[in-house]
This record gives sequence, structure tokens and C-alpha cells, in this order.
Amino acid sequence: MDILQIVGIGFLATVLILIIREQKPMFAYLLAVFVGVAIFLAFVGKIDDVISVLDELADRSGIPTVYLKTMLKIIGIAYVAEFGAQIVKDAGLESIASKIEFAGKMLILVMAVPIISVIVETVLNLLPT
Amino acid sequence: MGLMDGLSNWLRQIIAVILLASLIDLILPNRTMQRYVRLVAGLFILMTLATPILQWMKGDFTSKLTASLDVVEHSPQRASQQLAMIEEEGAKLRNKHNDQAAQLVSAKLEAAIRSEVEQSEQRGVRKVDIKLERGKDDSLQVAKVVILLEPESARSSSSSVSSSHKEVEPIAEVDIHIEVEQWPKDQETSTGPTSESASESTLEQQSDQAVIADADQEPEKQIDRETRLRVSALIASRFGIATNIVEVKVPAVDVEK
Repeated sequence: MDILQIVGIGFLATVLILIIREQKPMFAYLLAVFVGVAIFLAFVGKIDDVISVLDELADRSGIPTVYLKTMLKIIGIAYVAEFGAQIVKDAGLESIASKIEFAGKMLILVMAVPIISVIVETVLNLLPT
Repeated sequence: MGLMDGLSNWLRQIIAVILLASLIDLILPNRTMQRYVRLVAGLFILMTLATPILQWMKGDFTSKLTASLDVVEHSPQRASQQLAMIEEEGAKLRNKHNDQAAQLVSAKLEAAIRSEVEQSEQRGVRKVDIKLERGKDDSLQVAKVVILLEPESARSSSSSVSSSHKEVEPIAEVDIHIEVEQWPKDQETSTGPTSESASESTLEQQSDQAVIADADQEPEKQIDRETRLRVSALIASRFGIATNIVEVKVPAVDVEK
């Protein structure tokens, strides 16, 4: 799919939603969710190319695969949390959206804990006792 | 050479990680997550920078990091609690299973003992109670066997003096019968002394009956004991159950009534 098609679908959906919203807000919301999911799913496969480039980069430079794996997981968590939060936000439920984002942030921080612990251990070892 | 190799490797790693971090920063969806992801990316860059020191300090730190990251990923929240819950559930199910097995075993054993005792003793068995106990290694053991025999109705007549009741019963009856039958015949033909002897004989008979009635109580117990011993010995030989945990109950027979 091209960017023009995507923009076209976006415009169409926006116009339709603006029209429907007057009569049936519920259907407007459902349409928005559907269009959002469709675009997201259509282009989430493209991330494969980016990831393969990153993979190759990591492989050639000899950095540990854990780094890349962890970073990709963080991206995944961020994307999914963001996506869910946006959908909920569309329905006008800001509070739940912020909770979803909070959960995503927590999961990302949990990923960072082992790295921090290794660094802290090293720094503590460096210091003369 | 080794130093140069290590240095170039290190530099390459640093460049790769910084590139990686910037790419990831680009990929990120929005501002809210950016700070957190930047923190993690910065930590990675820091680790890469510190790799020589880390390796010098504590050897193979990468595997350790991998292990701890794996632990973070593969242990969802409250995993240990869930595991404990599942194990508890499993133990419950196992106990239920074992209980069912025990019930089945006791029912089968009961039926077997019942038929065996009925066959050998030629008398009804009212009830067989088997208590099972769980041993140390979860094996079932027979803790107690209680056999309640049917009161023997045939034996409640006066002839129960004999220990082996079947054979002697008719003889005793016949004995008494003959005595009673003979005396009146003589009484008809003879007079005087015969009447005396008749009265004597009736007295004798009465005392005899009294003796029998007296004796009835004692041998009853003895017979019961013998029956008990016999039944428990039978069960011990057939089922391998120790005689001291077998209890045979013979209900008191109403002899007089």
C-alpha cells in the first residue's frame, strides 16, 4: 500500500466519522477503531525490514544479542501500549488510557532493571572499599 | 595486535549500539514512552562503553545479564503463587483419587472376606468393617477388620452344649427323647416303686435341663471364642491380615427365649 492510499483511507474515514458522529456517536467510534486497527495492521509488517536491518547491524558489530532483543521488546511494548491507549482515548476515557500507558512504562522499566543492577554492581566493585 | 583487535571491536560495538539507540528512538510512537526508552538505550550505551572494564572486573557478564533478563521475561507476576496454587490443587486431586482407590479396595476386600467367611462358617455375616490407614510412603494398610457375624438361629436350641454343633445336636435330642418315651410305658405296666422312680426321673430330667441351661452360657462363650479364632485365622491365611487387627464379633444369642 502506498502512502496516498493510506492518506485517502484516513480522509474518507474522517469524513464518514464526522458525518455519523451527529447521529450515532457509537458507530463513529467503532469506525475510528476499525480504521485505526486496519492501518496499523497493514503497516506493522513493514517494521520487519527495519528490524532485519537492525539485526544485521548488531550481528556485524558483535554487540550481544541481548541488547537488540531487549530493545526490540521495549519497542513492541511501547507500540502496543500506545495503540491501546489511543483507542481508549478516542472513546474519551483519558483515565484508562493513562493507566494503559502507565502499565507500558512499568514493563519497560522492568526490562531496565537487570542492566541497572549490573552497572551498579560494577561501579560498586570499582570503588575501593 | 590483540590490543588493536579488542579496541576496534569495542569501537565497532559502541557505534552499533548508538546507531541502534537512535533508530529505536525514531521508531518510537510518541513522547510519553520516549523518556523511558531513552533511559534504557542510554543504559545500553553505557554498558557498551564500560564493556572492557566489566570484562576485566567480572569476566563473563553478558551471560549473567542474559540470564537475569530471561528471568524478568519468563517470570510473570505472582508466578510462584500460581505454582503453589496449582500444586495444592494437584495434591487435592491426588488425595481424592487415593481416597477413591481406598474405598474401592475396602469394598472389594469386604466382599471377599464376607464370602470367604460365609463359606467356611456356614453362617451369615452381618457386617464387615474395614479400616484402612495410609502408611508413611502413601501406601494403604489395613488397620482394622471388624466382622460381625449373624447370630446363629439354629444353634439357639438347647443342644448347643456340643462344640461341633452339627454332629452332636441330633444325638442329644434322641437321648432325651428315649428317656421320656420309655418311662411312661413302664409306668403303665408297673405300680408303686415305678411311680417313685418316675418322679425321680422327672426330677433328674429337670436337673439335667438346669445343668444344660447352666452350661449353655459358658460353652456359648467358648464357642464364640473358637469361632473368632477360626475366622481370624482364616482371614490371616487367605488375605494376609494379621490376626491381632481382626476383630470378630458374635452377637449374643438369646438361648432362653
